[in-house]
Amino acid sequence: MTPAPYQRLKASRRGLLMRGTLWLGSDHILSVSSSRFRDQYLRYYFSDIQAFTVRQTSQLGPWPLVASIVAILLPLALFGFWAPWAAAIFSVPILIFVVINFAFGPRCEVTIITRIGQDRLPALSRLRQSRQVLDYLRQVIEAKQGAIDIHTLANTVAGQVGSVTAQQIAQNRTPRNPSSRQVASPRWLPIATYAGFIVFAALLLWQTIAASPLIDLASIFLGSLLLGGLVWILVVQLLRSRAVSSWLLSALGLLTLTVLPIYRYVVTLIAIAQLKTPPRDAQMYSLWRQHSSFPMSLYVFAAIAIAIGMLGLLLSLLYPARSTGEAT
Amino acid sequence: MALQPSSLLCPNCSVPVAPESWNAASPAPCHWCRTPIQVLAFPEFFAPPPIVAAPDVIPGDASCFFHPGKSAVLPCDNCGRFLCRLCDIPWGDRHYCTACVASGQTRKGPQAFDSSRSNNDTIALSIAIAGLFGMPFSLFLSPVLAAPVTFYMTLKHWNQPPGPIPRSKIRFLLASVIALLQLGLLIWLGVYFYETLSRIRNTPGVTR
Repeated sequence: MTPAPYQRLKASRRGLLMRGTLWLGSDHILSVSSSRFRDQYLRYYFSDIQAFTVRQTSQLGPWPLVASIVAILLPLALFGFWAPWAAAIFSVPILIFVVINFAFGPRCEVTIITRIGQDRLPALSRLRQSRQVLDYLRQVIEAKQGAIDIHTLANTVAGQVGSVTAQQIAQNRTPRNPSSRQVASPRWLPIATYAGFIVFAALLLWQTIAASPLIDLASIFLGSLLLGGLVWILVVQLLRSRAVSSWLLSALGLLTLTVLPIYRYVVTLIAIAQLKTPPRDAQMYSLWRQHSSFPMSLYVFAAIAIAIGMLGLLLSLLYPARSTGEAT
Repeated sequence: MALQPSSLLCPNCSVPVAPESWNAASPAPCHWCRTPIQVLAFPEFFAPPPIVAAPDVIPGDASCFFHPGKSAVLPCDNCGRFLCRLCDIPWGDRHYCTACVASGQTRKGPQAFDSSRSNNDTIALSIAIAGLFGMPFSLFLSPVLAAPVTFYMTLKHWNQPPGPIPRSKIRFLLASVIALLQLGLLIWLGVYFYETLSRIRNTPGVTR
């Protein structure tokens, strides 16, 4: 048997590990979800398709927000210690990623409904693209099933849905909290962020032993990432959680990450003021290391970071809903 | 029973989707949670489910292979067994029995039944790339393992039947080129080290 000839629809979602594409056959749609090494095929015959639902989701998910914060804060953190190109190496690709993400428009989730169930179409993830593809598919499916009478549909839906919704709301039974999925963070984010604090403390302590600009750069980069993660966690907590201990811990983490570069910046500025000739980039790093408070301040910040990391991990594992904003 | 519009719920808050969202030009907000939703419904949504009943076999008439008491309506297009209305699985314009569909999914039957498929070309390319990037971390010995595996996978799967969607052989070609490069580099390094060692050994004043 020869394989069915397929026409590729302009619908694809490419991720680092996952990929989804949509193909049009002579009498069915083929949805391909791929994990790079293996493709999975789902076929939907035109005569079996009952409906598509499109749910618009937030465009400003945690990733673009965290990436934007990192891209903005990183040059500030690196200012005075590294040449401008060093900040650009990290910030420019992040900003390009964020801009491209916005250029593609709002995201959505498309579900296909047949008589035996519902499946999400992984290939359709952007609203604009989904609209174009579904417009085309509507013509193809209506050619097979016939067009639906829009007036009958409107009357049927308005009559049934209106009464059911009013009844449900009056009895207050089915509806979940409306904000339960609008502001939330993934479960791994607080765990990864607080675990990152312990790594950050280790990098600070390492700096007191070895004078390596690479370790310095790694700690600045990790600090910026943690700052982005903490801002997101704090926003979610402020909107969704009433646990003051979680707010305080996130706020203390933010304060620690902000005060350290400011303290370092001030110390370096004072040292520069005492110099007779303007320093070079390489000298800036040694000015900070030569300051009398250098090892002690790092010990103090490392100790605080370890305490925040341990406490945060404990809270995130014991009470995940407080940090992620999930409905309890 | 046909599906009712009230059975289609908002995925965010589980309230029936608002009438404004049905076959609308753009997503309309849900009445309860304000999440923008759009529903594109077709006549099949409101159609009653088909009732499939297989009539009993008439004496002297052909009976179903799987249900001897039921009358056969058509043969399987793959194996030729007679099937009743219950056992008939329409697949596009063809008709199959459950056994052929099951065997097709285990890759013994028609490829149209493929529900999943390994991308051997991507696996071969990944092994070749891993071998290349693993060289500095494995004392330049990773090609010893990666290159033969890449060649084996390329040769084994080069002529495999195509899947339902078109796929070129460019990944296999690329994997082979990378594997060849690795082997070439490995041989060059071996010769270089051998010559260097020979030169050191032959240098006057250097003892073994």
